[in-house]
Amino acid sequence: MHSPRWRKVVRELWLNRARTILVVASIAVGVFAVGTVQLLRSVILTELQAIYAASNASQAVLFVDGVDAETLESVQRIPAVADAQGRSTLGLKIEVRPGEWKNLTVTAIEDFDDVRINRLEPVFAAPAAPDFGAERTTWPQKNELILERSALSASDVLPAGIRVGDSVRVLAANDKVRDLRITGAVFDPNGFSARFTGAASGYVDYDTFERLGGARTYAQILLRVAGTPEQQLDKDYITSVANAAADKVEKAGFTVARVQVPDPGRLALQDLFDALALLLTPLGLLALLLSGFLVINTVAALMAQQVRQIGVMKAIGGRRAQIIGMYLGAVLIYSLAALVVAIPLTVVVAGGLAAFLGGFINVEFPRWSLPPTVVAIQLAVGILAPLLAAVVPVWRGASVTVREAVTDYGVGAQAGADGRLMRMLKSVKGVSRPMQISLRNTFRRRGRLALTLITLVLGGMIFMTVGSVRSSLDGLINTGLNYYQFDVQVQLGQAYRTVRIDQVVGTIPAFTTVEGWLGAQAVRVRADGAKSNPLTITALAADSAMVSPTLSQGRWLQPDDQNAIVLSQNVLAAEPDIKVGDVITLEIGDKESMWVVVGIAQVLGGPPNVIPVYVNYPYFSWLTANMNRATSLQLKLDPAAGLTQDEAAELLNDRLEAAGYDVASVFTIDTLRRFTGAFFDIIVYLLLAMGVLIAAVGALGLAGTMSTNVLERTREIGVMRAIGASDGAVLRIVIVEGVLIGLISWLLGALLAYPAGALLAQTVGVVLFQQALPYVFSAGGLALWLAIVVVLAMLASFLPAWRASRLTVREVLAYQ
Amino acid sequence: MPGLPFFRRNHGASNRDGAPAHTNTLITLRGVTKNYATPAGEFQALKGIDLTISPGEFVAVIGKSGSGKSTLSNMITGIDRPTAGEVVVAGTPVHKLSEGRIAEWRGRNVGVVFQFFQLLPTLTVLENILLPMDFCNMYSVRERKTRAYHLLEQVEMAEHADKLPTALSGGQQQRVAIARALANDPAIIVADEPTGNLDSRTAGAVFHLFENLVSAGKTILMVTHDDDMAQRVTRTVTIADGQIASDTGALHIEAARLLRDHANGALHLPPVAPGTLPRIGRISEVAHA
Repeated sequence: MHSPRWRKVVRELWLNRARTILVVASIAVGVFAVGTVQLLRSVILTELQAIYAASNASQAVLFVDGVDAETLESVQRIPAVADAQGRSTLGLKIEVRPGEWKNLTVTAIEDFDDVRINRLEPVFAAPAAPDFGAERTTWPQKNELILERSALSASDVLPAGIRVGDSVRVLAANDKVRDLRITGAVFDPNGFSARFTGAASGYVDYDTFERLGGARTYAQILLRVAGTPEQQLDKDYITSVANAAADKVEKAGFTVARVQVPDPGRLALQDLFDALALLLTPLGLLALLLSGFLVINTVAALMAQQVRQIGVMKAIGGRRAQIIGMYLGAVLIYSLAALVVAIPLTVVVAGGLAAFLGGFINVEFPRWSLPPTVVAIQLAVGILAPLLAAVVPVWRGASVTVREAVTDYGVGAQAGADGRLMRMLKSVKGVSRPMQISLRNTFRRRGRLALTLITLVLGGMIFMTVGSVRSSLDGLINTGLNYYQFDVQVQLGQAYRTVRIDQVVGTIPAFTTVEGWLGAQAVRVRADGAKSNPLTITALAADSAMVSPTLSQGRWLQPDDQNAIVLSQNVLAAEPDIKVGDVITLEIGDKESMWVVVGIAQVLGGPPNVIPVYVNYPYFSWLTANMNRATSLQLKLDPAAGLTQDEAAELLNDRLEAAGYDVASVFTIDTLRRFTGAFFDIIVYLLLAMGVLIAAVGALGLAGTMSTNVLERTREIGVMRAIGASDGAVLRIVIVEGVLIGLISWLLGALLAYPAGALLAQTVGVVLFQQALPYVFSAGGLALWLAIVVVLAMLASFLPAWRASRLTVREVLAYQ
Repeated sequence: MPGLPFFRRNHGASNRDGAPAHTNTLITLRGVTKNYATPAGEFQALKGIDLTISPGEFVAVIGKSGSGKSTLSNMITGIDRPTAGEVVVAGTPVHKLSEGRIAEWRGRNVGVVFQFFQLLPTLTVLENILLPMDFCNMYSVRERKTRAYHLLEQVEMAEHADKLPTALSGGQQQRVAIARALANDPAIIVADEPTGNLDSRTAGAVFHLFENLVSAGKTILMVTHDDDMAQRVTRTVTIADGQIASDTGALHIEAARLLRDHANGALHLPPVAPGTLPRIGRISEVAHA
């Protein structure tokens, strides 16, 4: 920095601090956006992969009815089985306040020191509950319970202020209340977060499990398969090993309700993260593109202001290459400053976002992480993108001839050409003179206006698109949840006669309607004999009042249908060859039957890994010899009865159990809404954050343009003031120009947002739900962006306008 | 300004790019025409200008506004290019140089002084003078600073070396601009209305500075409106409507030819009464008429 030209560069960066801050902020926003997306992806995927690898996650799970240790050993002896372990689970209740019980899932573990599959990791620090005393965590023994840590950060699933060593009251399956001592917290990477399920979960030994009404057997067999690395990722291979294990279990006289084989190598909730990556990556790149436009705009303005100095430098011997070097050097300094801001900001924000997302999915991501690849990407993007963006304006600026440079001064030198647009603007009547000046000024520098508009239009488009994707997601959730017209659902342990159940339900007047359905597990037998993952059959009356299905293809069931079947869209993800009109073979129990696919329904919610299909109750009850019986109850609640869904469900559960019914689970639509809402909140919050970021970029762009416009017209403003323009008039002329630019950008952005939103909604829908989201264009987003853009435009032009109104005529006319 | 040790004396037409000096003229314009396209149609700023300037001349170019005098000076500095004709400065055909080379050539061979001084506002006085040396990579870094200080001493501005231009008066800024024009020790100084923005006393001081430079061997071409200044230079070229309306230098040449012819006996001058010999300028006007 010894040479005068570099001193000039540095000094001007310092003297024009407002512009320097603007450019640095513009670059930093782009670098930050790209870096944050990269860091999130990197941290989340790396960490999840590490966690799941460390947990030695099961590759298949057999859901069985009380398998004994001997049978488990026989499964372990299958050569293709690397390891197998058994567990059992009970759905119980925990007292969170005197007399108030909440769901609690308790899993029995045989030997906490020898959990080889779906490992549990004791937790010795729980930031969400610092008073819990996690540092004293020990494995539970008899009459003790260790909690899954996500329950500590979920609201109202545990007694308030619970600590290690406290006793909790648990309502056992045998209706006895047991006191269990809490021994600490554990992290189960393969379980679902309490924030999703709305229920706490915990682990006990088998002695305690028996006291809680469970049996000393296994209800789930977790499998790891032996084989080559390729086989470990081959779902068909894993399924065949799991089916062999299931055969062994069945030969020993036990029933295998279903075999679950998740997609190998894919993490739980990976669909969600894929969707997030799909949304955030292009948004990050767009933010970068916008910041590139800002750099082009600001550097072009900078070069325009420096025309005379460039001319002088050329007159005294400066070559174009040297001048280009100087200004690109300035851009490089901007870039380095932006990196200094953006990289730490990325670490802080991405860490915070990861922690936020981790809260939803019960994973503690590293708070301060900066992988070298992310730094490399940020350095490359932060240095190259601004330089590339600046090359053209710098080249053009440096190409000005000395003659052009030293003769370019005076009022009117930069007036726009008297083209068609100007003639049109001149013909605008009925507006005040200052307003006419604003209107014409807006279109004077059309190149700069275009670049500013690109930034603001893209910013607005993305903001409004995000709004539409959010509305479409809401629409899908509502459509999906609209399927469920009942308030409470009870799953029974076996099929019961509906007439008798009616009598019990009749004792609770709050329920206005009840319907009994049959459910069963089935697998599709493909043409080559291979079997699909289990499908969950729901047999209901075709004219059921308890559902309001939305069909993406075909039709719903009709009363006279026999072997007609409606698939949920999830089936298509697993079995993409099926089309409406196809005949498929299902194996129900050990019988095969043929079904005609009549429609595809959009269904949302329900437990993960459950793929529902729908058939007609009369035919199915005949086929399975369960006529006039039901395995589940769907009930509608009278809103006037004064009971919440949870209260009504609990009452019904009590009455049914008192009457001797085996109640497997009770579930309310409120719970489903909570669960689904939490899932989509992640996407919506992130989209919103991106929208805000993009809005910030747009505002920076407009602020830059307005201050350049004002600076360029300083002399002109002086002349206006000399002939009597008040401070207010100058202020108004500039602010109205800014608002006009904002309004034009809003209009163009709104036009683009409609198709862009449709495209994004389709993409997100396909990734998350295997179908396009029902597109809802967000009018709210349109109005919100209009308000934001007007306010931003006013703010962005106020400072330059205020500065212009402060200048004295003498100062202005002396301005060179 | 005794001695001006940092100035190189002109020795005929040599240039800093090593081109051979082959004549005794430093600047030659042959048939230079310059046309500009304007919304009102093509405007001819220069119409076939022929002009030669020898080393050490102090030439004033005068004329009305729009006459083409600035265009003429721009041809010599390479700031503008002729539409037709040739411009040879210190042996270099300036009209043939590429844009890229012309800046460096100018930086080394021609010092430019502007009416509005055009000092870079964010550089100090000293840095403004260092800048041409930096651009043209002239002198070692240490020499540059010593040289810049000496130049400022020559223009009596050394005590303002660390000030920004905005802290100086117009006359002071123009002195600095002249020092900057001398930074790379060019043979030629081209000044476009250098006193046009100064009061008469300051203008006189600046002009005196130019006179000293000419004494030190520099060749100066000064575009000016000021008739009084024009009277004090060694040669005055008057431009009107893009053409040379008069050139006292041409008279010098004509006079020299006449004297030579007279010496050779080829010319017999009529006797002239003492005190009636017209001044050279007036004779020129008569001759052109």
